[in-house]
Amino acid sequence: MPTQKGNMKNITIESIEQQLCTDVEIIISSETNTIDCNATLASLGIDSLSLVEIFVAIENRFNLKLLNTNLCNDDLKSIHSLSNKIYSLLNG
Amino acid sequence: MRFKRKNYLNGIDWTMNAIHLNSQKHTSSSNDFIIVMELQNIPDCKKLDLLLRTCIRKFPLLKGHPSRGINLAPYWKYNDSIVLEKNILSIVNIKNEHSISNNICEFSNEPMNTDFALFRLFMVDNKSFLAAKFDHRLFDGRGAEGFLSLVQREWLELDTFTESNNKKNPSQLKNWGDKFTSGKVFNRTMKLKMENCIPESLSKPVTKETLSYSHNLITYNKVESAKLLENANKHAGLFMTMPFILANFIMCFHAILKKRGQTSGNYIIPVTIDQRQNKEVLKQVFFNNWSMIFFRISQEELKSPIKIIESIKEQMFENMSNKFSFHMTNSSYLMRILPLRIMNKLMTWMLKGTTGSFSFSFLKESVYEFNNFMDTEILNLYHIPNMPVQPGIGLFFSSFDGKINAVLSYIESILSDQELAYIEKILKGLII
Repeated sequence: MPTQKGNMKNITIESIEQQLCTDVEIIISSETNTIDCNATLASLGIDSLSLVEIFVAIENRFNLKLLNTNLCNDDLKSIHSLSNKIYSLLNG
Repeated sequence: MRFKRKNYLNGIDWTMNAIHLNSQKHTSSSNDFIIVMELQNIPDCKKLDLLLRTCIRKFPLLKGHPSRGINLAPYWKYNDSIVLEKNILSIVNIKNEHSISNNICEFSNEPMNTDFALFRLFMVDNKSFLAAKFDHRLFDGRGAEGFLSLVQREWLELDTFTESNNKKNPSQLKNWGDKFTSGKVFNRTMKLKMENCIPESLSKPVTKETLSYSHNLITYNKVESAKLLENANKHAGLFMTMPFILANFIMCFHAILKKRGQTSGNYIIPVTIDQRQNKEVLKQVFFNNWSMIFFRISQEELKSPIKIIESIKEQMFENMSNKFSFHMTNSSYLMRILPLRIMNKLMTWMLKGTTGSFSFSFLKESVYEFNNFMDTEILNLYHIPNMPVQPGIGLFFSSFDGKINAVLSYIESILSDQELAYIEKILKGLII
């Protein structure tokens, strides 16, 4: 269920990270139970399609459209850095 | 011989059977593809032959054939054990390395008859090229890479996942409601995509009765591949290599058609996608496990590659949001009720007489897990697919050990020498 942006103001980075990890695990069909949030997205085998799939998951969860947002390479380095970006956009 | 076992086909497999029939009708070969391993040395031929025989015996599916049941669901019919009557490995000495592309082209134009995997070792000086030819009815590109990995695993006496690879596929003769809902989503999306659009494509050569396949290989070394990724990152964004290359190729294709006087500027591009992780592929190397996205590019988007990239990304987002690829695969089970000849007609009718402007795919890093084959270093590994008669041209990218390879596959005579040279120039220009 998409969550209203208003309800997201009090969300913590840790919580965003956790939710994003769950989504990425499903998208990349990870065989391990948990994936390292600091691992680079490249090392997780992310490609254009899986990145877009992550953006769809982010829109559904946080009501944020990242596709045409100017994300820099550092924002897309890892789940941790992407969570930080989401946090700053939600609280910006 | 009495066939005892059956493995049900999915809708994509059945589609590949329809394309196989069409290719057989119009060309000297069929809907096959070759994976080439460029090897630093020459492996022991006797041991290689023995190794391949051992692997083929482990997977009896390789000696089956498609059939249909009374419930109209098509399946793969095969025996528990197989007898190998003839050689599956042929050995060819070639004069020099430059002739390898002609030799591989000849191999791709030879019919496979009753085999679903055939191997040819080309030897030149102290080097060799192992060309493995696969029938698309039983293998997709990544599955075939996985099969070669299993061959190497057999050589190293590692697990070849025999049990999971010989596991039966279910008939999928239930949950009809879900499949019809998927069919509705698929039809509506395609109808919207094709609205007021007759996709531009190259006209089929009319001079020959039997068509032949041709291919041009463009390799990027490690430095060039890194540069290509850097350029894609700069112009399309991180991880957006596929949209970057596709956008540039659309511009190139449009320039060619414009010169021919085809100026509508409407393009439909079917792009094959396979989101499985490499480990998953190794556990199911057989049959077709891919889906598709259809991109529509219109005249107003052709002003610059950046506009096309934006459009491709938006369409990818739309595709993922409404789960189009899932619905396409799920609804394709319904197509199994159709006899292959009707399937062929339906596929072309859906896309108004063509299956799109050209085909395209960008495979993830190779499923092949090793950097050597039978203790011989692999210098490169690439795919040479035979392009179906419609649309008659496709561009396919694959990667191995940090090196990107591009193969332009086309029906012979569909492109002039100047057009081919122009495409090569554009593809090489991606690293400038």
